[in-house]
Amino acid sequence: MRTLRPRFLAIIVCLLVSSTFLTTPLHLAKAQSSELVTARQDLVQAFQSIQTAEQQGASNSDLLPLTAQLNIALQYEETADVYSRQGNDTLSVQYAVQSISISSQVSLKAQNLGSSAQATSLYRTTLSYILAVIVALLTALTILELGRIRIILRRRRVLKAKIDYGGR
Amino acid sequence: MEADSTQHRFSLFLVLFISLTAIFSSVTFYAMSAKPSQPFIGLGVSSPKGLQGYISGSNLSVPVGQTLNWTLAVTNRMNKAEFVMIIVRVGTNSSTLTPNATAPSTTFPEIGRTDQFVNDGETSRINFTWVIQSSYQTAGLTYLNISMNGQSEVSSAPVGTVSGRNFRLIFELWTFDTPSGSFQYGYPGLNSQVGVWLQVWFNAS
Repeated sequence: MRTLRPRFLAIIVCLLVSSTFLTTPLHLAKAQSSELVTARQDLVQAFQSIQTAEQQGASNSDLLPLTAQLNIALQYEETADVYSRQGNDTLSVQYAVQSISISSQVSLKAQNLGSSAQATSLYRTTLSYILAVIVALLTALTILELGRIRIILRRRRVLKAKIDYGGR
Repeated sequence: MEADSTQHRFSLFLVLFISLTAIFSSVTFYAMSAKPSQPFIGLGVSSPKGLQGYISGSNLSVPVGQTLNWTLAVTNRMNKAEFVMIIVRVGTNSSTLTPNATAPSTTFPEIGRTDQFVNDGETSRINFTWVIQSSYQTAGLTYLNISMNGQSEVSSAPVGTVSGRNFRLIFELWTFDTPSGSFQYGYPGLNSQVGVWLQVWFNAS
């Protein structure tokens, strides 16, 4: 019984060690597929950021380079997917990471563009309405004081007119 | 007497000012509002050598092994950026299996798909290279092995035709639906989803 216990323990230790080796590739595979999943998620997130920036008033010309960059990220993600299917996990992860990097940059730039566009839009709107009120005020004053303005203009014309003494 | 006149003038000024403010604010609102437009996405296919086969009976003749370089054009007028996917299928002249304005074809086999982000107001050109790698006959019908954009070849089975005539390539447009996180056939119209697809008829020779 005493001799059996160390053997039993040894078997358990062996099993534990071997199970660690067995699970290691699974962990790697999980990590690699998670890179691809993250790449896809980041692409969608960057795309949503571009749409939000558009809603906030960012111009098409500003967003065009971001869409082009996002298409490059999409190509990297697709290449990563192809390599993953072929079993080349190293290259798959490399391309997925590049895709994630570009998508993150695009997302950040889109958010910045959206924020500045929103601020500009708010400024423009406020300025336009203030201008509308000022124009209304000036027009109201002009209409109200039309009589006086006419009199002033007439006086000026009279004052500026050359005196014709006649006789020559 | 003078106080009455001043009060009268002030009242008149207020009426004028309020009325004119309303008018000018309305004009400003109108000028700053987005112009109404009907959103749509256009899909087209072209070839530098010219293309025929948009209608049945004027089929292209495509030799086995010849690589064809076409261009797919996607025009986005949805007032927002779109994530589009084009699914390419091979079909026959069966009208019941054809995609329509509301539903895609689910029976014709898919050769491949390509996706792209398209900015609002932009026409995106997507390269589409395809080749009939080989053909084979079973029970009097010709079946094709087609590959697209350098991807592995796909069999047209169960789609086969007599003597390799009246095949067609079908291009379906799908757009990414953000709330569901998946691609939907066509694009969201004003009231419902609008299906977009086109076809090119060909004979395998």
